[in-house]
Amino acid sequence: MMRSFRTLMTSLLALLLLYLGACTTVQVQSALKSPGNLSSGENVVLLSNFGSTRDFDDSDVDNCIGSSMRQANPELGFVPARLFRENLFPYFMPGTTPHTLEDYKNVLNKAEVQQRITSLRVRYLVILTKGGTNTDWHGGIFCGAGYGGGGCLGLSWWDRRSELDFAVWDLQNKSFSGNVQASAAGKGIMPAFGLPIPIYSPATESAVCKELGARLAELLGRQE
Amino acid sequence: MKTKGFMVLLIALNLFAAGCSVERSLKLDARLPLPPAVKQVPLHIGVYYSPEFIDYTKKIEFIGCGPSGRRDSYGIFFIFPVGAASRDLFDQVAAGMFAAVTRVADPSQPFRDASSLDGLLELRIESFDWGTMCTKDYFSTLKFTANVRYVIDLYNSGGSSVASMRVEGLGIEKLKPCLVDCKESLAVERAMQDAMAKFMIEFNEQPEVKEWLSTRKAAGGNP
Repeated sequence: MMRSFRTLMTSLLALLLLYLGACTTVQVQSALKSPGNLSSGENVVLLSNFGSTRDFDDSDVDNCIGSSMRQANPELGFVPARLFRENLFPYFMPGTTPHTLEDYKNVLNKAEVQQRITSLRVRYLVILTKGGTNTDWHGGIFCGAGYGGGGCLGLSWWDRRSELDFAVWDLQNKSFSGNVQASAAGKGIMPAFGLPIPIYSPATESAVCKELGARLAELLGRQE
Repeated sequence: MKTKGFMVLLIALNLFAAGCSVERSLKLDARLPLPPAVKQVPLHIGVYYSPEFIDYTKKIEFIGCGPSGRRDSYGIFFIFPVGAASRDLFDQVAAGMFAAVTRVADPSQPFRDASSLDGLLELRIESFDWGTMCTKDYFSTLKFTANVRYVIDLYNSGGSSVASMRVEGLGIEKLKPCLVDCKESLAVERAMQDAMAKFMIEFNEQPEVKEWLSTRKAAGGNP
């Protein structure tokens, strides 16, 4: 009786310690050379990049940083990714998106491209260069069932890390403005005393999106 | 439209339950809403589409995602009319690239008649593939993937081959539940547009094409 009580207390203590460590921490780094030059009427476009990651499409990028940028600075103007791609075809398709400074200069120096960019009034292009979420599982949960019923016993926890990296290009000045990146790490816990129930699940991706959006809105949104 | 989509889904589920298969022919329209952002070459180009090219269709089974990325077959087949949709898109692409474009019914005819064409482009579909990708997590999500590869041959006004280009396009789209006014290309239109975009950019960069363009421009072209 005493031994089972001790085992239960040890388990609860381990669970409490894990719970205390179960939080999401976010780190944001930005290196923009020339932030804060967005004039009124000028717009920002947010794009995904299949050459870097296939996990995010344009709507994912908009849902990720677009919504928090709008929330942080409602005066920011955006050109929808689809409209930008339609106007700039054949450039900025999955297989024709520029990657290097040289590629961008080659594309942006074309008169037809500049004309379309000017008509859309796009100043900054924010394009995804790296993104993803990794989850490592630990522990174990054992489940069993018999004639009298069934259940699970054990403890699982997982480390989740999300990372996003965006490049910012000044399309009017045909220059690279810099990078903004963020990563978030968190631990999730799922004890099983009968049924496995997650008591904490780290929302690392949404934390990264929120922080990045707020930082980009702050950096790009300063009026001249 | 809503009723139609719902009926297709309902019929597919009923047939699946009954152990039958269902076929669905997609309507593809990969045409661009705006002219491409490229400088036109002042030449008159003929474009030839063979009957095999225009009639190119492919029937592929839809494989869905079960728990933890399991691959599930539902007996649903999609028919992709890739040839006709590629012709419509290439008409638009060629019109954006060259000052004048004429469709040619017989590829040997314009050159025999010493016509005003500076050159002739002929398209072939080398391969087309379509499928699904499933994530490995328990509530596995699905993405459609499409891959199309074209071979585009350029002939000079004498009927000799100038260059042969191979371009490949990739399309990836997430499965989006939709019952009203659905635009169902399942990533195929994107793959076609991607391949054509590569063609437009790479065409002028081919050494043989560069040489041919310089001789045609020097001769004044036939815009």
